[in-house]
Amino acid sequence: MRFGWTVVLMVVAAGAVLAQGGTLVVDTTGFNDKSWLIFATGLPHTEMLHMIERFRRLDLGHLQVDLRLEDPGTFTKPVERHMTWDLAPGEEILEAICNENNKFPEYAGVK
Amino acid sequence: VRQVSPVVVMLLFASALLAQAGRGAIAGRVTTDQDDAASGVTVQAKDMAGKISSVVANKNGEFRLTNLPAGIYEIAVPQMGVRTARYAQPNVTVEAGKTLTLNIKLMPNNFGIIGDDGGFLHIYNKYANQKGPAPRTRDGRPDFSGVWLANVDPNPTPVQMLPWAQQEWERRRDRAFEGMPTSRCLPLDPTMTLPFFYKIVQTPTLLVHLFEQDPHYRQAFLDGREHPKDLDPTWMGHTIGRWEKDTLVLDTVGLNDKSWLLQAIWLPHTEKLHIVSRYTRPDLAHLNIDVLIEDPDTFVKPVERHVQWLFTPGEEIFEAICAENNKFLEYSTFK
Repeated sequence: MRFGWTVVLMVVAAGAVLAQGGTLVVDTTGFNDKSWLIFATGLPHTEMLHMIERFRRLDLGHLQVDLRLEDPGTFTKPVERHMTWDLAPGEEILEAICNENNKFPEYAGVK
Repeated sequence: VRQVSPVVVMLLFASALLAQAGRGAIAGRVTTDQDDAASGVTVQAKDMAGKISSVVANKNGEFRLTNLPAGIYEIAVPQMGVRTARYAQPNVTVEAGKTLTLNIKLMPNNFGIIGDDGGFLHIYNKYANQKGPAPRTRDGRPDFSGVWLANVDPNPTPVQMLPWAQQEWERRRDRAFEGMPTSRCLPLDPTMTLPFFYKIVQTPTLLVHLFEQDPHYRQAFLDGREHPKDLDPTWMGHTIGRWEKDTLVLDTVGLNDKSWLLQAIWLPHTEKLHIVSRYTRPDLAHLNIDVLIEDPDTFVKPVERHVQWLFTPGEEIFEAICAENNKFLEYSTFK
């Protein structure tokens, strides 16, 4: 943040986007090593993490997302996940202010 | 016959013209509180009728306001980012045929919070001279996409508040704005007028503002939908937009009463807050935004702000995670 009120860790994440036919390939590097990866798995990783996402819309209602995570400092071979997202045109993302009322520590199984 | 230097003749001629027309000038140098040249700031002279003459300080911070009818002026330097506070000097007398010297030292404007560097003016000056027409989208609308350096209203009008709001505002001021939401990593001002970077992503049906402060995005729906009934109040509210020729009119309701409005003023408000922002892009470099802030339970009359954002296509918004390393409370003047 250039003029703001906080000093923060600045992560330069460059997303290089390349369309291949009907597939959008998104390439991300420049990660710190603080995030925990993949829901309910919570994998560690290093700053060598390299994420490649391939987005393909199968039909009106479905988006195919093929995820590949490379990190030779962590994984013996790249991790792949293959997901299908459902279009939800009548829904909207809601405002969620974690800093306002964070109940996670209170409800977490491990205290 | 002894020849008279053409320069001397021109000087005599010029000063005679000034005196004849009853006009004078003001010249000087503008510096920051750290004695750096305040290059790129605007210096204004406002006459008794409210007419403003202005000039931009050069790379050495020097300015010269010429051709001013003799009379009494208010000299002002509008705020630039959070680096420099507004300067205003009333009752400055300009005499016919004379140049008044006025050196101006600007004061900082951020309550002692860090981030108080020359970055704003440096980046502003880097992009100040872009020329060209406003680009348009494929469907013929003005295109507001890109990274913009916002600034505050150069000539903000006073805000008239109802007694409870005036009392609450004075309490905030007297405690050096302790407890402002952004100091606790809570969302920024929903009027979207803070003097920082914003990135606009525009599609025919959606306009998204991205920014470095929490919550990092604000959606405006352009698909013709109405505001939902019985909105749960939120920090950023619910925003819809429509085009009026080349002006995009954004309308926001559904706001909670927790946010503090307008940088360096930090106004209170109720859930009746209604924000109408009119966006126009007069040329490549500028986005003009006229903001109307209505809240009949807080303000005696609607608050207006007229801001101009500068296109900064070589810049990018940064990832800024307030909750990770918040220095605000540590550096605040109020402990």
